[in-house]
Amino acid sequence: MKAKVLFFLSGLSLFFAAALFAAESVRISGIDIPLVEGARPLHIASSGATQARIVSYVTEVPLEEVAGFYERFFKINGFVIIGGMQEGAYSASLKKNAVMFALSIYPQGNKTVIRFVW
Amino acid sequence: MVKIIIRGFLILLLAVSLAGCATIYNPATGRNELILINSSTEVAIGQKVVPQLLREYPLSDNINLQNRLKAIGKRIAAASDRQDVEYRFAVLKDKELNAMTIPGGFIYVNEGLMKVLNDKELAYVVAHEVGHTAARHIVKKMQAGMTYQLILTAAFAGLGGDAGSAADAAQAVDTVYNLVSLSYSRKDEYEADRLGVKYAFLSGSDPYAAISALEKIKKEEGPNWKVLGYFRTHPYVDERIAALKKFIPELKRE
Repeated sequence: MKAKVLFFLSGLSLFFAAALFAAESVRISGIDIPLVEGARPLHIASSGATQARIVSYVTEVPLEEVAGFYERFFKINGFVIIGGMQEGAYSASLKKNAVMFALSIYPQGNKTVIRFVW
Repeated sequence: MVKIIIRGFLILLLAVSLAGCATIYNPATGRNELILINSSTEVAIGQKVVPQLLREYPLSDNINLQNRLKAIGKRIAAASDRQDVEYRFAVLKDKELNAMTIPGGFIYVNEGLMKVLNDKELAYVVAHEVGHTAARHIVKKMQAGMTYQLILTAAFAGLGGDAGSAADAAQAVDTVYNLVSLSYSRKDEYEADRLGVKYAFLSGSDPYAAISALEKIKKEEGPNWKVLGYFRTHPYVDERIAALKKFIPELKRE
């Protein structure tokens, strides 16, 4: 019974969180980073010692297209980029003025996961 | 206010319900792990730390030793579980028996240690250091000992910096250097040993050379072996030798 309730609450939380976070961008230290169209929230967490925030989204848009979208955005907007496409995934750290974060784009089944860490 | 509370509750539920989604599989350790520092960033940090190391310990000008280490390192690197970094090997002009790994696959062995060990023993030492890189022990050390923003500050040191950030960047690189200089945990040492003998074995070397290497270093260090050189940064030697004696026959059977 307890498991069923937890399962129901988890499902419910996913539904409502998806609705709440159906945003067009993710705000990182005051900078809005756009999300590819239709990206849905997947995972939100914080990591203990590093005090890092981890926010992941999932989309049906192919990985290469998502990576291209962000590469263009970062180049046009003057971000310093460390990293890029490697072994079938996009993984980079980004910096603009004092704002720094990391972006990973990787496949999960036939979907694409977009993970921001800052 | 109510909306904020509900939102916070839902975030918590979502985080709990999907715990583990942010982890990736690490083939070296065989575990799913939360690795927040990607390889490019790790290499960028390593590139900032290397000059600091070389200011303290210059490179050896002994070409034969450099070539010997590179030849052994190349074989070991090919056997590593981790191939998304380029392993680089160099000998440091230092008599102390020691070896160390900088983030991003930069591996250094002192002249003193090079001269004491034969090729098979050296293969184990190199493979042990490669094991630390493959298992991302240094990355985990950074994740345990630094904030994420400090880690990124080290990675971006000297790149597109703001006028006031140079001191912060230098401090961040210093912090990484200090972390690298600290000894590893017992668990990490055992894991690097297992990976070390595995990579040495896969590269065609004798895994039992690991035991003779550790015993030789201990003997060479004399009564101060617990506080000097290799065992200062790679402690728990007696327990590690005992563990290797159990592990190597299993490796050979596999």
